Amino acid sequence: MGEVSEFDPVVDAELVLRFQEGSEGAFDDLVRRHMDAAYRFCLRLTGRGSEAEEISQEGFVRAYRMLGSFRGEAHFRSWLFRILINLHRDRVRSRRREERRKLEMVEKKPVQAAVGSELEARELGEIVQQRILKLPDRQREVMQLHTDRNLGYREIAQILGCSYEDVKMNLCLARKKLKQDLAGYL
Amino acid sequence: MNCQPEQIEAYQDGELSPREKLELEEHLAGCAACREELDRTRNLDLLLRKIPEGEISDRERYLKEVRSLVRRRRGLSWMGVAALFLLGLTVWNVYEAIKPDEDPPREPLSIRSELLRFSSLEEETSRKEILDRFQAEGEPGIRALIAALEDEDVRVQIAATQVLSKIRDERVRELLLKVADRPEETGGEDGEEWDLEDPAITACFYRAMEVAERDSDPGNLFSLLEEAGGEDPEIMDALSEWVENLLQSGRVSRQRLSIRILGHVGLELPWWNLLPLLASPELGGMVLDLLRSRTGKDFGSDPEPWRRHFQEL
Repeated sequence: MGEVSEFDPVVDAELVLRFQEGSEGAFDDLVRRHMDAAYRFCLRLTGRGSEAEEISQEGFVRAYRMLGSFRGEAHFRSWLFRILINLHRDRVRSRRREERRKLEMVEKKPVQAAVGSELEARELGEIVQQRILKLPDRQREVMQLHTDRNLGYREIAQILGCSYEDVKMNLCLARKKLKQDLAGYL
Repeated sequence: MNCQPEQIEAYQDGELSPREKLELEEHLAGCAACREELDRTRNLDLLLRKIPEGEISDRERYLKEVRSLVRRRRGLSWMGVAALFLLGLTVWNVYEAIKPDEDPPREPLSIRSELLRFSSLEEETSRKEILDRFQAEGEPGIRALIAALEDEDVRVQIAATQVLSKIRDERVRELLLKVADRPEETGGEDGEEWDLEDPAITACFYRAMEVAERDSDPGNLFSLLEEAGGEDPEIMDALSEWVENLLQSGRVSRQRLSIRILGHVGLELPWWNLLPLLASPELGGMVLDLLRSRTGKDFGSDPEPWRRHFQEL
């Protein structure tokens, strides 16, 4: 699982401890270590770069406020992602109507069948991303954690605070929907 | 073995035990439909990798922005304290200016009992008397009301929210938003009743859930839902998530609580979490009753026919 080996949780735990002992620099190091992953994850949840930046930065601010009471029961990264998920959910809730309008616009955009080499990979990726943004919240979260972070079901369950079976079921539902929506490309 | 799409995907994700893997591979060897499904799953996963990665254009600027936000929020915390002080001072000054000279000395205000009385009264005139007393208390009254939002009794929290909302002072409102830790939200115009999206009211629901879990008693929560929250999507989302967590807790008292809630509130059934409980000696009967009443079907205590029924849905 890519990120797990890339980011040694022991180093994070040491940085958290140093921060709790008063080192502001340790927090900067934590931000540097996780900013790309946090940003990319938020980008996949929101589909918008500016919003991804806002949410991920807000996530670090919230982490800064809460880090004093962080007891290390979960890995820092899982804990941070959980904060990001919650921030994103808050935004989705408070802007539900706006979100719906945007999704309607996406639906109106015609999706043409695959035309092989004629279609640029980037455009295809954007179409796939738009289809993911149409999924219900929990399915989208599970799908993004699975795809972007390549996480196992157990770690996804830990981040989302749900059961293994819940992850398995939501991933299955999300894939079912995507297979229908993207049938022309499969 | 029957065709099970979720097992095919778990296989693709490396989540099956060696035994499950072997069983599935045996099934795949004889089932063209499942082999096709596995191909489609693999193709979908390849397609998902084509999503643009995205990167932060300027990492140092990003870090500076985080530092700056942290500093600003710290500043805001102090401003909150200052605002509370100024608010209290203003309320106190207004009170001093308008209070009648012959105002008799009052007994010290018992916040909790007054709020409990407020929650039990329906008559507007009596409620207004209590409201007037809180306003007359000035800064200590406002502080106590804000503190009461964290009271362990949800009725006290609700009453405190109602009293604060009736004061309808924008600065009180800002403090409430701060208490609810939802600074980005805004409410109605001045003079309007606050609606259910108000974060302070939402906070009451969250608190009611905590109390229900602590006491294994959803009574307060049900009253609150009946009064106001049954249609609010945020409340219902939070309830669904919480009920699922209770079901997965492995503790009978919490699972019993969640089944009671599912029987009372029209949430979507998290059947994949409920079916394993059919075998529970303590909870099996409750689960069966719930499934029967919500589906109009009866497949008994064997989870398999229930599973097939829900999957077909």
